[in-house]
Amino acid sequence: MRYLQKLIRQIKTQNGITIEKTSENEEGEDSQKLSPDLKTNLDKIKKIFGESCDLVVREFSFGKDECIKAGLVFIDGLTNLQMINDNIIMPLLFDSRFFRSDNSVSISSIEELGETLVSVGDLKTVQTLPEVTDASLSGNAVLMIEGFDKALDISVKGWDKRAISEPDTETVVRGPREGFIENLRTNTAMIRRKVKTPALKVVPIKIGDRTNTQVNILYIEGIADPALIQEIKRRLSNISTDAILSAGNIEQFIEDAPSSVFQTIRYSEKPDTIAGKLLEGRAAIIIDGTPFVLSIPMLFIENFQASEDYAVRTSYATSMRILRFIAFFISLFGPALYVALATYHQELLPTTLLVTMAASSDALPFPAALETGLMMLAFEILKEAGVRMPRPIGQAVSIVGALVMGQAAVEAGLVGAPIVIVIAITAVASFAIPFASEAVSLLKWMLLVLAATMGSFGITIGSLAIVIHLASLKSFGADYLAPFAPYQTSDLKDTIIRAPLWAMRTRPRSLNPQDLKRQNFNIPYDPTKGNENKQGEQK
Amino acid sequence: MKKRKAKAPKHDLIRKTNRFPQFAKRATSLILCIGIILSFSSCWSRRELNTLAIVLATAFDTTTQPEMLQVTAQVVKPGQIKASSSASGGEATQKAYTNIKSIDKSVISAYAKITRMNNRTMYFSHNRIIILSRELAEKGISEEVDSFTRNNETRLNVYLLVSEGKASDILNEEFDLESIPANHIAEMIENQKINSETAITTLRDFDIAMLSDSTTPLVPIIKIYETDGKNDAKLEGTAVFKDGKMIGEFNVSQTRGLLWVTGKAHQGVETVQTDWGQVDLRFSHSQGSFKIVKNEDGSTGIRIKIDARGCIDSNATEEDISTVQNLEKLEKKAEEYIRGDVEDAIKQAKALSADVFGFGEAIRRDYPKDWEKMKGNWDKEFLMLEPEIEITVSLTCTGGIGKPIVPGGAE
Repeated sequence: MRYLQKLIRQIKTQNGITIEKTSENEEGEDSQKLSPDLKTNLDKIKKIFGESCDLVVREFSFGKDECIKAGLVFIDGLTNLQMINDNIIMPLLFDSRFFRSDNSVSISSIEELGETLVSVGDLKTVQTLPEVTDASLSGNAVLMIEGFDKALDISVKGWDKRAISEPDTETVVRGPREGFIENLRTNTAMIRRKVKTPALKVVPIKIGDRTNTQVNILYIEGIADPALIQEIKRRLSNISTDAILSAGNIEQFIEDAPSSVFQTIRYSEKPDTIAGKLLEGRAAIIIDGTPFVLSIPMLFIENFQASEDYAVRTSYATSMRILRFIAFFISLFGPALYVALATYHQELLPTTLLVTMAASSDALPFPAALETGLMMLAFEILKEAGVRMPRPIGQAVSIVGALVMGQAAVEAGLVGAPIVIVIAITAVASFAIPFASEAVSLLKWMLLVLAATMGSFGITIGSLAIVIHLASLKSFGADYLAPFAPYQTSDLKDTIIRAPLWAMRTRPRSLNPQDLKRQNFNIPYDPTKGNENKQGEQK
Repeated sequence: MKKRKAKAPKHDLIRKTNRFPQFAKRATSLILCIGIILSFSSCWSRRELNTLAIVLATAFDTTTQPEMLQVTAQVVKPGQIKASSSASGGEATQKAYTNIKSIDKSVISAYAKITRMNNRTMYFSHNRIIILSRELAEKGISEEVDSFTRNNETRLNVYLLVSEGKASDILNEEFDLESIPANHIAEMIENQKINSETAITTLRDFDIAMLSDSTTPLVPIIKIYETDGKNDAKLEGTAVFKDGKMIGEFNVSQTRGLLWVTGKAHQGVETVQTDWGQVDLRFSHSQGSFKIVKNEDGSTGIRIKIDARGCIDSNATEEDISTVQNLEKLEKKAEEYIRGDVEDAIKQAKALSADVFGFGEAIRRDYPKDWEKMKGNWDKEFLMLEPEIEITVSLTCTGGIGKPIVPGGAE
């Protein structure tokens, strides 16, 4: 038992490493510290990396009469070699001969090098071996000088990265087209380019015992709720895992309802979306190596919001919102309603429609529920195959799917034509709401089973269960169904309707922002008459 | 300090590891419960579309045996509908319906008999019309009406019809515009609104009238007539029921008068003979109503108010009827025609001693105390009523043209 407790404590302290690294190291052993002896240090580093061939340890001497011994450690491929040559090695080897007027041979401190010789912007002093390895693994070069127990951490990051391109997941007609890439710094820069204020805070945190993944929490000070930021930091530091490989990994560790079908953390691939979320009082989490940025907290209504909504005019944006709601209900209830109507409530159908439906299901071998289930299954398989297959084959899959499963199955008399139509409409509708489609594709099965066993009564039970579940969800303290439940009138302007931008004078109250006021306009605003309230004038 | 900090999460971790079995237990029991509920209910009252015989029309006839009743149910043949829609035309396809007949003592037993000779369940929710033969109607139709009202599958908005001749013959008629006779007849009835010459009656209307102390139910009459060697069905006149039995009928113009009084006539065409010739008037947005009034001597009277609005639909004369004087003349003429219809209807109602208008119900609603006194011999009281008729006709337009189309009319 005692052994177990000891083990647990050990695990616990290991988890603590990520956030309290420096304090950990203080109480750590002396062997972790750099020694004044250059050779010892380099040997230790070589030992740590072992047989890895991409570690480069460059030893050289510089200064007058080449009397100062130095070692440069970096990892090939993560660094910009040009920069290392021009800005570190070149000045040291050549300029150092003339850098002092008097004839003193050595240098007084390692910081002096940074002050006088190394022409790189981002410099730090490090003192321990883990810091050295961390720095070199994140693409920095570490310069160590004989006789000093410190080293210079020189940022010369430079690796191949994907160019910024339009994301496939959220395409827009109007609005910015750039999307995040896999590089953390590029991503934070993209947001900084949109939100040019020092109040935008970028808080670093490292997660993953082995991957040491850089994660940044972004928020705007003065807008975001400090309690929210605290909570995010707490949950992130609680993560105890060896690997974080994508945003989805982080999401699963910190989300409020891991077993729910609804996602409680929104993701986006577009900087403008994330910037908008930040300005509403949310926080964002950027994970190195993923083009998806998480935004927290997420409300249910965000399933229906797209960045395009704010780029187009109110009337059209509102109609698109309503359309998405309709699509949501169709994709959720479509098959279930069909089954309920066809097997329990034939009296609800208009006579002509009933006769037509009866005509098409006249000689069908399966009950309507089974038939619908089979077609839904077939469609899900097709969808999955289309995503997983290499693109050229994916097309073949869709042709086989559309022709064989649709037409041929109807002609062979295996399924009825109405079912194919219902499944097709359901499928198309679910593509109109990409964020909710995951939840919908699972819930429609539940509703189908309920409809098949209990008809519309079952659908009612199922919808009630969904609503109750949604109302019980929370995302980082925010109520998921807000602003509908709890009801918040002022927040309704960005829900089913998308009010004109000048009418959105306050940030969503459901997110509990520190600064509620977003702008100052007359309602209704008349641009021809000017604005008495004057934007920016504080009241 | 540090130690304590490390301790707190430790318990947390232990609790977390213990939480899983509990969660799994709860999840399993929930899934089991749902599974049991679903399998116990086991698709209760499920009926697949291809196990239903969708009844679109029902006809009731008398038979040679006096106690027996013949039931004819018109059932859709779904397979045939599919074939006819996919057939390229010209090819003679089978009928899209079949008429199932059964003879038994009562409606329900006749249907039970049908079930014994059919593979599909009779499904009455989409039964659109019920046709009763005149012979049966005169014997009494309480049982038919009761069984169709009582059943929870049948609807109250089914149309009732009385047929001259055998009711099942009407369901056998072939119609050119519709492949199923029941649909043809039901849509034909719905179409009568533009004419206001048929007292459209649903089962619900019939029930309400039947349940009343005074009002007599009305059912339109359908007839088969022959044109160019081909049979066709048409609606003509109205059957009047009293105590569940048909006691007489209203002809077309009497029916129109009746509809004016009960406020069901909104549209319709009136062909008016004027001094110059024949003019057709089309009424629309018209409204009729009646009110119970107290006379000075304390007796109750009826005031019928009809507000007819219309246009000139055709003008066979050479007279320019678009002038104000001529329009006034026309209005007067139209008023006479409407008054004639209404008076005719009242006369016929009195002749049958049947309160087809619902005067008694109106008195009961407005003057319940008086009604208590009159209730006993309403039949006599009804005959004594002399309704005042107040008719205003306003012709608001002359159609697309003003002057008649005659040679030289352009000048």
